[in-house]
Amino acid sequence: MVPKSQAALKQSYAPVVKKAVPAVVNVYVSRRVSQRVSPFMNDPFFQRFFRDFGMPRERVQNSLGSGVIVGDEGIVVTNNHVIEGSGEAEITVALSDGREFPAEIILKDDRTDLAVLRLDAKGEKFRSVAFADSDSLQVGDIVLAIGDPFGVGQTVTSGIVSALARTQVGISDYQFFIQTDAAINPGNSGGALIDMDGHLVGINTAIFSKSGGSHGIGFAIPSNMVRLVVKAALEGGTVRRPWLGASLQPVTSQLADTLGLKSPRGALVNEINAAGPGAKAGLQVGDVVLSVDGMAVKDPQALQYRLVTKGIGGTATLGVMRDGRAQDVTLKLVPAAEVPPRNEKLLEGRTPLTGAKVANLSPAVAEELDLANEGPGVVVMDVTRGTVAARVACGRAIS
Amino acid sequence: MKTVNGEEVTAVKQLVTLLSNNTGGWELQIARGGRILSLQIGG
Repeated sequence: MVPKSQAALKQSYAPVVKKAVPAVVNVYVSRRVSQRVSPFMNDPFFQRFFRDFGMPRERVQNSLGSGVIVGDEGIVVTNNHVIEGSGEAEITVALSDGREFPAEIILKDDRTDLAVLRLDAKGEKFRSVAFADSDSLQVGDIVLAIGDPFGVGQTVTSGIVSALARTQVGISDYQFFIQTDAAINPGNSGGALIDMDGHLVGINTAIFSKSGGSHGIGFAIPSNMVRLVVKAALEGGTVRRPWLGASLQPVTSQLADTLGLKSPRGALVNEINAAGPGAKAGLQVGDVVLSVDGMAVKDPQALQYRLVTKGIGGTATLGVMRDGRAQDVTLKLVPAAEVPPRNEKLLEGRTPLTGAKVANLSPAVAEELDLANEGPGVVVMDVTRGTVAARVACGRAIS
Repeated sequence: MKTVNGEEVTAVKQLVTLLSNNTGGWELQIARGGRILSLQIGG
């Protein structure tokens, strides 16, 4: 289309950018880490025996990411991977006007790869960005990415929504990414993806790249998930997720034929916990869940996302295909039960598991650790480095 | 933990008892990533 006037020719995203830019920040993390230095550390063979020996030496590790102010009292959301690491972290947030504030972590959620920070700003009010409803996004919508790539300074890039509901990216447990061709590079992590109203549609989180730089395939966590995590942080808790109590598998082309589906889609129930909300709602092994409250579910990850973003409380209607017939199941949105109580214990004494922290396996623990087995049994939650257990049973193990 | 000396592990308290009741070492079975690891220690 040929522009018909001078005004039409001079199109610009500037009004949208002006609205959102003050709410996008840089997140600096400075961390003191202790490292043992031993003359044997360069030798892979001796490393196995001497990694816990040698003189501890402290050094400072710095990292950089982006963040978005989503609450005018100084609530910032960023990626968990921006602030995560061992050792004590000092976090500084730099605003687009150059002011800097120390920040504290109020919630870290590695399952969504989101973290929420609070600026230590003594009653100061900040420009924040409002959440958009990410479910109303469509492929082809124009979006802008704002962040601090490579630490060069605040940068705005433009693109479109290239795809929605990307569930096979492999970087967090709840995958339902917005894919965009707006250039996203290292340092953009935690930054904003905004729509043409200047509202937050996603948090830029990952890229697909063979070189490390942008190839026009970036992924953002949808704002509806971000909103849920921020709400949990402000309510002072952890992110509580509804529990289905069922094991799911994707529907392949072959399965779709067998199940009488026109195309491979949905989440097939292949195991069900008799005490779980799914079973209580009447869900059965062999059912294929095709929708949640009318929103299509293309695979098990999409079902998990839909349930998680409903939050706890109330019900959701699952559209199910059973024996070739469509029907609805009303699921209560309740968290996984912590039965039996976890009874966490650090094993001591002269046993091969000394140094292992173990707990009773319950649906809540299984959900937390993303285990298929919901109990009963005992799970290794953590292993102290350098102990007998670390040599025998390092990692998680379940009954 | 799957088993200690052939006995199925069902609770933390029972695991502590099983580990302390050894006479000549331990036989452990641990489930990890869909596989069962068998370990014989001591004895």
